[in-house]
Amino acid sequence: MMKKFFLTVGAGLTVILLGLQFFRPKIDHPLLTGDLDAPKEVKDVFVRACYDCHSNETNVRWYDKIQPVYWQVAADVREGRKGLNFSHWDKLAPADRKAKLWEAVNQIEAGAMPIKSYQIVHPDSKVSEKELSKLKAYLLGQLHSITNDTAKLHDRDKQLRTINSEKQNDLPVSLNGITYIPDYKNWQVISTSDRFDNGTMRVIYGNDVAVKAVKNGKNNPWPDGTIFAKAAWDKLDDGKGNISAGAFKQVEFMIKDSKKYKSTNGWGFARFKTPKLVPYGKTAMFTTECTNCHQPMKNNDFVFTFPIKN
Amino acid sequence: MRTPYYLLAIISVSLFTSCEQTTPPAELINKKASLPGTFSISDLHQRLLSSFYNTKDNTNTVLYGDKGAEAALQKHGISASSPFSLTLVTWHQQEDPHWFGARIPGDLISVERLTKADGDDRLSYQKLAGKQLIAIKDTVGNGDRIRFILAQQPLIQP
Repeated sequence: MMKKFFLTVGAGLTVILLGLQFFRPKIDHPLLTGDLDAPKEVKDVFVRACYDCHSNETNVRWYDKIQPVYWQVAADVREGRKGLNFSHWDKLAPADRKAKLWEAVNQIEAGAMPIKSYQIVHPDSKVSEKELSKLKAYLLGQLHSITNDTAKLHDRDKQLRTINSEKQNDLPVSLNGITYIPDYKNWQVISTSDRFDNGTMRVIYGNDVAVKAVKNGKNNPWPDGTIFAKAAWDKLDDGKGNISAGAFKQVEFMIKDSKKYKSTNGWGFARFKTPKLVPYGKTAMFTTECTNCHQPMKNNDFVFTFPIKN
Repeated sequence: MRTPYYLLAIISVSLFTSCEQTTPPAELINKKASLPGTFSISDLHQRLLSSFYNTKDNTNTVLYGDKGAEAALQKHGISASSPFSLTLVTWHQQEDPHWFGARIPGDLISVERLTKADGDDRLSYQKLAGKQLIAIKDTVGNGDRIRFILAQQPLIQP
């Protein structure tokens, strides 16, 4: 009785699997416009670990083409190219290229990239500790001194002169419907971040809910109502070791509401740039960038900050 | 008949063990940089006025203050009548374990408080140092520290 049951189920599954092979998603190979420019030993690592999904040079092996896996492979390639495509490196501004590489190395270090399912099928894509060190050394070597940067001094002075005339009457609203929260300046500081990767300094503020959650050890997951604000300024270096804040760059918010923002891991993301507080992004889908970057922190409720109990 | 159940059990156990666990909340608090229970910045209800680093000492500092302090820094001076309260917290820096490319506050070094009472010209300076924030009685260098604190420029906060 049992044997017949398993035989019938097995035969049925085989027919379905065979039938699925006739459905072929399309993975195209558009022309390369400008490739990543890096030393060979650095580029080789990116090519091996990332290019299948993050370039137009996708190499689909025969075993990737077996359905229903092929659907997932095609979706990964589509999503991968959307987030970062090394074949269109020339389309990115120099600062964005730098930021993408630092993010990529951080994703690799956190074990978020290459994605687990890809690594299992393509074990050669794994980045070794030695290779990761090479990538890090390359990034550190690209940093340049910011001592007495006259352009940055000029930006700060200009902002100081114009700041009062740029005050907005209406509060700006992000493309995903989040209204700028001016009150963050009265919140408590839960950490600072000296971002030597991009020459900015940041302060992370937490509202009362966040500060209370830290005090009571309820910070993973963070309770609904938690709001973080992260403000960024240029770093000014006087050449004597003193680094102070220059021009205001942006402020970002993370608002916890597990129901309202379910599709973005329970957090509402928003970013307002320059003293004019211009909402970031071209469409409401800018949040994909936020969730992709925060993905390695999935065990920490998608929060990077280590809050200080104060 | 029992085989499917065994199979199911094995699959469930392997799925359960392969799932990554959420990090315990205590591991996500920056304990090194946290203030001891004897001193709470958040209870002062002051706001952030400035933030800066020193690459020679490998330190990072934030300056908090009340409304009077904000006005005093903006005017680059103190008027005899307005009271104010400033709090300066300094940490050693540490690498951010969550982001290669960032440094965050590490071991707590000190808390300095500079206050001026209403209608009183005198400034009161107090320094608490170390992880437990023990009051420092030595007054050498206090004048320099007062001048240093009052010379800080407020952040541009639109």
